[in-house]
Amino acid sequence: MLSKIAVAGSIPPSIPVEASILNRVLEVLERVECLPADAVGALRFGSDGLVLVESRAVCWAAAPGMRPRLTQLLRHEHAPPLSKDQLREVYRQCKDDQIPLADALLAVGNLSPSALRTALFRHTAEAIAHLASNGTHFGGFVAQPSYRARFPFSTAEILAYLGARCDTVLAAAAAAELEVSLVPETSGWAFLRDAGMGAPVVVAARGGPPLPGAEMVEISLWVANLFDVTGVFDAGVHLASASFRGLRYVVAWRSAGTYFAAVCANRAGAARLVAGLEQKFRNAERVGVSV
Amino acid sequence: MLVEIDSGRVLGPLPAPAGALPVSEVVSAVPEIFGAQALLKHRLLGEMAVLSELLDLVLISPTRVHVLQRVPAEPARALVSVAGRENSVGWVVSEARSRLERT
Repeated sequence: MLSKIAVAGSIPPSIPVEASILNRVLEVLERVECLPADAVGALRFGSDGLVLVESRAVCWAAAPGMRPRLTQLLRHEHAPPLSKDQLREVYRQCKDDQIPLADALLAVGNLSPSALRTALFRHTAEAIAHLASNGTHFGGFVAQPSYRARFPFSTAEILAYLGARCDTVLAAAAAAELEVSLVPETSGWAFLRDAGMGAPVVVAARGGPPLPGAEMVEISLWVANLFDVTGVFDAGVHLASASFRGLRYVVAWRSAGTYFAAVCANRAGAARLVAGLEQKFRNAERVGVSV
Repeated sequence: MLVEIDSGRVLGPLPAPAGALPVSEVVSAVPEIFGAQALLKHRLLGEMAVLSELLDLVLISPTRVHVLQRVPAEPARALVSVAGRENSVGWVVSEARSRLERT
């Protein structure tokens, strides 16, 4: 499997790109998703690994050996890049004044909220990948007071970020397609059928409410099987809309070799999504573009 | 065309509306389409599957619209319709639903 490194200007990840770790990442994320909806606390892994969770969202994660990583990410995101001394001063202020790191960093000046979110998210996602890769022993859940995290992250976006490592260019294009296609109250994602993992690899996720990772993978399997079967009688099938008992509505499509799936809140939402996608496919056919 | 879901056996053609296309090819795939989730249930080793019973499915290609609908009063059966893409998808689905109600 070939991996495609992110475009120039970004710092490389601290984790391997292989899709093989994604199975174990799913296991780690499942521990988050299986917590009670109102649970707040830390999932502990070994002696130094932890994933802070609130309401099934990940607030922070750390793994052994990652101590310098946040500094590296923050310095990269800051404009101009922060010096190590400046960052050390920020940490000291946090500790002395007992203020959240996020607030202190934003107060420094040239770090936008989106840049801070990016740095914290990358650290969190990479830490989860490290924990999964190392196979660190799960040490249980410790309840704690609310973190009131400024930037909680869904397990879906963490899974997609790590899956996107298989092909960052394709993942970016898929994310853009989801941004313009999805309708309100719809959770959608893009996946590769097999990036060397023997199972679908989620590479982009948008909308909400986000689904658990294992559900996204299972629905992706169903979508992949469906397009295989329809190929028997009509190889051109590119869009499908299904309703299931229990008021579940799934729309699936494929475009430029990428597969997409979306779970809609109701039949009307599914119909709107299909209408929008149908228009896109018709426009592409009209100008002779293969989708 | 009315089809037995588990076996794909045709239970009897219905009068075809104008513009309908042959459905025999789709019919052969009905057991697998409606039974696909069963495979996933097995894979989950007995846990409840994320996707339960498929009720209806619309498949769109550049040339055709396929509509497969489980018959509500007889869930072991499905109504299969195929129409050309020159018709709007909304119209095709609406017509298929009307036929289902008359089944």
